[in-house]
Amino acid sequence: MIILKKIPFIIIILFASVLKVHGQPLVSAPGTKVHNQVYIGLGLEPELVTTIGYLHLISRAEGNLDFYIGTSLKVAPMILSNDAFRINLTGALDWAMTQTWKTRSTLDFYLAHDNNKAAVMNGLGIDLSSSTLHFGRQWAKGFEFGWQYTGLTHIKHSAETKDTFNERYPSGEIGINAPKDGWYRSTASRFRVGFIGSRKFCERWRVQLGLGALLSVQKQGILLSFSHAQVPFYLNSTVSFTY
Amino acid sequence: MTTLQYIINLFNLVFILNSLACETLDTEKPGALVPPTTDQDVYLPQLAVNVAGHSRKIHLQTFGNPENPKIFVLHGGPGADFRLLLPLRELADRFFVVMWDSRGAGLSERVTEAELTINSFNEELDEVKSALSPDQKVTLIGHSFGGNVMIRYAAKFPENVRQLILIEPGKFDLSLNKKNTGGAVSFLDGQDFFWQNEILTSMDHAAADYKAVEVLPKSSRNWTCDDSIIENYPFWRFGTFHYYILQKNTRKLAKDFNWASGIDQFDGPITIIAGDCGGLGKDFQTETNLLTLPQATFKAIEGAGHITMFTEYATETVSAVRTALP
Repeated sequence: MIILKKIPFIIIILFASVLKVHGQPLVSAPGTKVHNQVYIGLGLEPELVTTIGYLHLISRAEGNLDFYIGTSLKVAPMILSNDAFRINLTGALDWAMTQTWKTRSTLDFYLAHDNNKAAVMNGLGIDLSSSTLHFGRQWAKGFEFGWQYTGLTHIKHSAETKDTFNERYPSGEIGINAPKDGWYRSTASRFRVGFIGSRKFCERWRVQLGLGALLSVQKQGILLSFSHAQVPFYLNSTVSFTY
Repeated sequence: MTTLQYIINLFNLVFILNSLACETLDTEKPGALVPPTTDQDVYLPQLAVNVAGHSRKIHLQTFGNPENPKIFVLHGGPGADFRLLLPLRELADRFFVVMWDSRGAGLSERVTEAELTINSFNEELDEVKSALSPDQKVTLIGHSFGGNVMIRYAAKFPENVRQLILIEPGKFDLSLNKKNTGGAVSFLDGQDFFWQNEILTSMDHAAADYKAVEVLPKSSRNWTCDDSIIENYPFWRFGTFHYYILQKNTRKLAKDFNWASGIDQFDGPITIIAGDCGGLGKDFQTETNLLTLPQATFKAIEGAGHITMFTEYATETVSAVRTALP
C-alpha cells in the first residue's frame, strides 16, 4: 500500500530525471505566441528537488502584458518517505519591455509538507519572484530574485521531540513538560538571487539553467553554515513546452 | 460595491487575520519547540557564572554528597548537553558529581559570539570550581570536545586538578596529520534538514536548535561500528549557534596549536577511554592523542562508539571510569 501511495511521486521523479530539469515557469521570448506552458525541472537547493507545473494564459493586454495562472508540484525525491512536497498556486505576469527584454513576475501561494523525525509540519506561505532576461536568437541571459515566506505552519511534534523535554528537572520539580502542538506564525523566510540562462530548442521548447544564492536571515546575522541548514547555493534546470 | 463597503470589508479582513495571528504560537516562545533554557525556566537546576564579562546562568546539576571528592563532567559537541552523560551519575555513590551544559549549549542561557572564545571555557570551568570546590582539587571527566576543554584547563591550572579522564576526546595536537572524523552528515541524510527550510528556517535560537532533532541522530553514522543511525540519541537541546561559533573559532586555531600544551606540569593520572568503533575511537586515539600523552593509561571498550558508550555500553563505560578512579 505504501508503495502504491508513492507511485505518482515516482512517476514525476522518473520523468524529471530523464529530462534533467527543475523548476519554475520559464520566460518565453518577446513576441512568442504563447497560450499555455508546461514545465518540469530538477534542482539542488541544496536538497534534490523536482517540480512539474502548468501555466494557463488568462489575458493578453495592451502594452505587451500577459497574465497567467497555474499550478505546480514540487517534491524532494530522496525523501519521499517523509512525504516532502509543496503545492503551488501560481499567478504570473509577463511584461515584454522591448523587442529583446522581458520580465516575468510570479506569486505562488503554497502548502508545504514534511513528516520527519521532529514533527509533522504543514506550512502555508507565499513565494514572490521576478526574472528578467535579454533574448538573443537562441540564447537568453538574465537574473532572478525572490522572497519566500511561510506565514503559518501547523506543527505536530513527534515522540522524539517530546522526549527532549524528559529528565530535565530534579525530582519534585515540575516545569514545562512538553512542546506545543499547533499553529505557529512566521516560521520561514528566505531570499533567492541568481543568474539564469536559457536556450530555445525547436519552436516550442526552451531549457533554462539557474545558479544563485538562497539565504535566510537569522537574528544573529546571515550564518552560512551547515548547522543552520545554510548551504546557500541553488542550481536548477527547467525545460518548458509552450503551445 | 461602494467605497464604504470596501473599507468595511478591508477592516473585517484585517480583524480576522489579526485574531488568527493572536492565537498562533511564536517559534521562539520558551518551551514551544524546544525545552527552555535556564534564563527562561527557574525550575531548572542552575548556577550563575561570570565569564567574558557577562553573568550567565548555566544548566548545572549535582549528584551525591558535597563532602565527597569532586568530579566535574563536561559534555562534547560543541553545543551538546550532559543528558548523554547521565549514566556517570552512578559515580555519586562515592563522589560528588557535577555536570553542566556550557554557556550557549544544551539548556544553558544563550550567549553572544564574543563570549564563546576558546579561552572562555577555562574561565567557565574556574567559575564552577570556585562555586562548588573552592578549596579542593577536582577530577575532570570530559567527553569528546569536553575532553579537549578539560585537558587544556589541567595544563593551565594543574594545581586545581587531581585526575583527568578523557573519553574519546578530539585531536589535541593539531599538527598531527590525522583528521578528526565523525559527526558528519551525508548528502542523503541531510536532505530533510534542508527541505525543512520550506517550512521552518532557523531565524533565532529555538528554531535553529529544534532542527537538530531531525539531523543530530543522523550525525551518528560514523560513530558506530556498522554506520547505522542511533535512533535513541539522548539529548535535551542542541546549541546550534554555540556549535557554529566554536567550529569557526577552532578552524582559526594555529596549525601547531596543541590543546595539551603545558600538560607536562600536571602530575596527576591521565586516562583515555575510547570505543573501538567510529571516528574518534581506539585507532584515532592511538594515532593521535596517545602519541601526545604517552604517560596516559588507555582503555578500549569493545563494540562501543562515541555515543553508544553512554547508551547500550553505559555499564562498561562507567565501569572503565570506576577502574580509573582511586
